Amino acid sequence: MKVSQIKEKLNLEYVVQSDNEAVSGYASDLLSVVMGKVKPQSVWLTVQTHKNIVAVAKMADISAIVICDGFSPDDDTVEAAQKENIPILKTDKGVFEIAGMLYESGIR
Amino acid sequence: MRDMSLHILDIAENSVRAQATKVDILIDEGEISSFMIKDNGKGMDEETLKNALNPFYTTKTERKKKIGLGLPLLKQNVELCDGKFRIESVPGKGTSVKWTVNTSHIDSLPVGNIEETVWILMTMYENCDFSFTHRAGKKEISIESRELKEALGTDELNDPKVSMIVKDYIKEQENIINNQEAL
Repeated sequence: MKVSQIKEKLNLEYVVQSDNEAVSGYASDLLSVVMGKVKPQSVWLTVQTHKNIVAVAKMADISAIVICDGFSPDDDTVEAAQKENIPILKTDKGVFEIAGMLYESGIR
Repeated sequence: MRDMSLHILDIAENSVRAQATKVDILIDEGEISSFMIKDNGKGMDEETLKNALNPFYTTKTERKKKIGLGLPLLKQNVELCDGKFRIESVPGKGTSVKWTVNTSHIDSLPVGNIEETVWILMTMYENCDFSFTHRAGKKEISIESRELKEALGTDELNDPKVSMIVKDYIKEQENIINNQEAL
């Protein structure tokens, strides 16, 4: 599924617009754990906003970062994501709810 | 990283890669805990030092993607819990990384399995001597890999038998810090 389709289905807001194919999902806020556990081409749900999330996404071939619970990425995070072409989306909903909606939409 | 011991292992391995022959590690636990890793490696020039905190920078040429998260992740974790982070480096002299954490902050990382970290460092990197000091309140222990090499009569601390002796010794010393007074 395309990240842009997920955005529409889950009513997410683009912070950094870019499109990728996503085949899996993952949720965690501990960056080192994400690096070790996430599958390539995943949508990653987190509340972290630091620039390091973009580096993790790039390293682990993550398709999109969804920042949940109403948090917004730091300015240098947005800048890095634009440069690295990694989509960042945000939502006021919590990680649990977004994970459920993603799962329902067919991302397993 | 799930705890400080993993960060310490990671940063000390940077020292080894920077050709250090001596690395000092200090942990001082309290309400504000402080940590220091100081090496006599090749150090960094101003430009490299600036880049060291950028996650999109690495000196590892074998990496396909130019990402280096060791120091950036540590700095993030330290600042998340109201700590201070400082790195200083002099080309040709060495590098020191120091940080503090407010241990009452709910997100502050625990020290973790420091025995394992010290054991790995002391037994895996034979060309480098490690000095480890751990303070907690009034207790203090200090372990020097140079002294262990002299006492055991070998430089090869990675020899399986020797390595186990080193492991037990580190554990014994750490017990002094962690345990209540023996009854």
